[in-house]
Amino acid sequence: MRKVLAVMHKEWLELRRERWLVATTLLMPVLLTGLPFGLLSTASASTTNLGPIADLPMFQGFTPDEIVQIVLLRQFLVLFLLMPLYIPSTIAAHSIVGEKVSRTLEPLLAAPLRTGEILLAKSLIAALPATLITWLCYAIYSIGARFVAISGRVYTEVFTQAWLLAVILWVPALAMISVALGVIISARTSDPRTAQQLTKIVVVPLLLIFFAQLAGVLIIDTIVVAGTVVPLVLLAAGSLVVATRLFDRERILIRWN
Amino acid sequence: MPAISARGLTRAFGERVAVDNLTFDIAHGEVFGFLGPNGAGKTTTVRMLTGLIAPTSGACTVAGYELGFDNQRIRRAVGVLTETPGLYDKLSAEQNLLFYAAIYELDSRTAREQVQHYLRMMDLWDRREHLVGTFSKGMRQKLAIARALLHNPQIVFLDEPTAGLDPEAANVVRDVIRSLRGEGRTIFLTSHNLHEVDQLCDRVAIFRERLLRLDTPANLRAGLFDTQHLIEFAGAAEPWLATVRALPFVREASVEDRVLVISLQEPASQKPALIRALVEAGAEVQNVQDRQYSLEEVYLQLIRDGATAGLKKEMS
Ligand SMILES: Nc1ncnc2c1ncn2[C@@H]1O[C@H](COP(=O)(O)OP(=O)(O)O)[C@@H](O)[C@H]1O
Ligand SMILES: [Mg+2]
Repeated sequence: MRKVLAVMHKEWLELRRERWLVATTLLMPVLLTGLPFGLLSTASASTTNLGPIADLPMFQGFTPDEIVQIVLLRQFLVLFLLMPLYIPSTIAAHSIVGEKVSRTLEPLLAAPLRTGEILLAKSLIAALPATLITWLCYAIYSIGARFVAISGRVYTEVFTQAWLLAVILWVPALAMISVALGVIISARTSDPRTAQQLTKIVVVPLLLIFFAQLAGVLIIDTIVVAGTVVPLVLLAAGSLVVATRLFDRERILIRWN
Repeated sequence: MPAISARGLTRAFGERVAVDNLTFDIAHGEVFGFLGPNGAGKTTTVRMLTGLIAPTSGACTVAGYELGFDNQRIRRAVGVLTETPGLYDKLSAEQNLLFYAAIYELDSRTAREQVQHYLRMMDLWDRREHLVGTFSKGMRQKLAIARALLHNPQIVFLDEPTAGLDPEAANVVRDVIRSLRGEGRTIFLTSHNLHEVDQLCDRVAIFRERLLRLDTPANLRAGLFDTQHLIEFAGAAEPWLATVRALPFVREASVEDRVLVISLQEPASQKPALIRALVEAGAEVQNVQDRQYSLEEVYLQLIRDGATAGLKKEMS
């Protein structure tokens, strides 16, 4: 464990000097968090035609303006599940691909570190900031929404306990899954640039959730969240194990130039 | 048990064989030079011996551990200066070393002591807080050597430690290697620089895809060519050519630059008889000298022979 912490500390020291990477990585979530407020300030029942969505049974008893707000605010919640998938893949790809490109990987692989220790450290150091940033953005979003919501009903309808739970529990697990998938993909490609690009496809499954929720097919309640947390954590741990198995030290050393 | 023992170590990249059937033993405390031109397969060999890449075939023990089964133990037991120093540019010199000290599980006090010891030894102590990104090539190389030594490994691999350094920096690095040798460590030193291995090594392997020769620098110089005797006369040398050619133990005789050049079957015992025969025939012998080949000539000859042998193998 001490070695894992040592690698994490080293990564942290390096990240602190990667101002550009950190700035661009942080900029995206912050912009995304601000985006819904811009939209909400102009959207009302008179400018936005929700079509059949407004007739869904769950909206019964709300005014048309309230329904528009609920739909918009809820749509953007999925962003907070996308963030932990997107942010760490950038950092993780950077930390493995980066070591190869700057030629620091060979001495690292020559040192007494197990593949699992290297990958765990690099995954944690990527997942940790991603989780914290996502939590922070969610806090900003939920507090900001209190001010733009036209009624208390709108707010409690969107920011349910189930969503709070989902953000707290799902986000770290999703971040770890994303990193592990990134590593698996990098281990299977023969050049670092492709690895970095391919890593981005991990967001695709989340888009499915996005549309499912939009269409009212998927309702995220406390039971759904509680029931999926354990499988998600297992999936995260499993992906890390698979990543460790697939990570071919020799291949990465001699194929990537 | 030798420090390193390789048996038929072979590595191919696809069709191309980079290291072919390499066998040697290295004793504890020996400084072993691994000499070959660019592309000879030196780095590939170091990578195999340190468990970074697997051999295609062959076996090897390093520090008593079997390569391929105990790689983690091997990594802990040896220190490696890889072909490129591979330091973290965005970390200070001290941070770079402390990181590796933690990886080798030194406790934090020992880590600080070792880091200070080697930074001072490498004359980098005053620059310890500077980012490695600002360091010169020579400073990086010294820091990378320090990194390889932090955990006091008994076996140290140095892959071309002086390549690309200016002469002054290269000398500093050579002094470091000398002092490591004084500490009794086993050193596997690759180089394409003949004088370097001549100065520093107990034994030298001349290598190009295959092991061409393995011996002490002195034996390498002596062993490859016949020793030749150069004889100068008061007058011309040509008249004596027939005299020496008539002697049964003379293998070859020629005249170069007014000097008689002679190879004998057994130089040590037959040289007096040769001189006596000349003097008895009336020659005024002015000077007798043995021709000393430089290690460079030996090396170039071996490398050329190695290349033609390889070519023949490919064509057959
Ligand atoms: N990763 C690799 N992929 C393919 N061929 C390689 C690789 N590494 C080395 N080689 C080949 O193996 C040979 C030996 O290379 P190397 O061990 O680097 O030599 P040296 O260190 O003596 O200069 C070269 O011909 C080189 O082209
Ligand atoms: Mg090399």
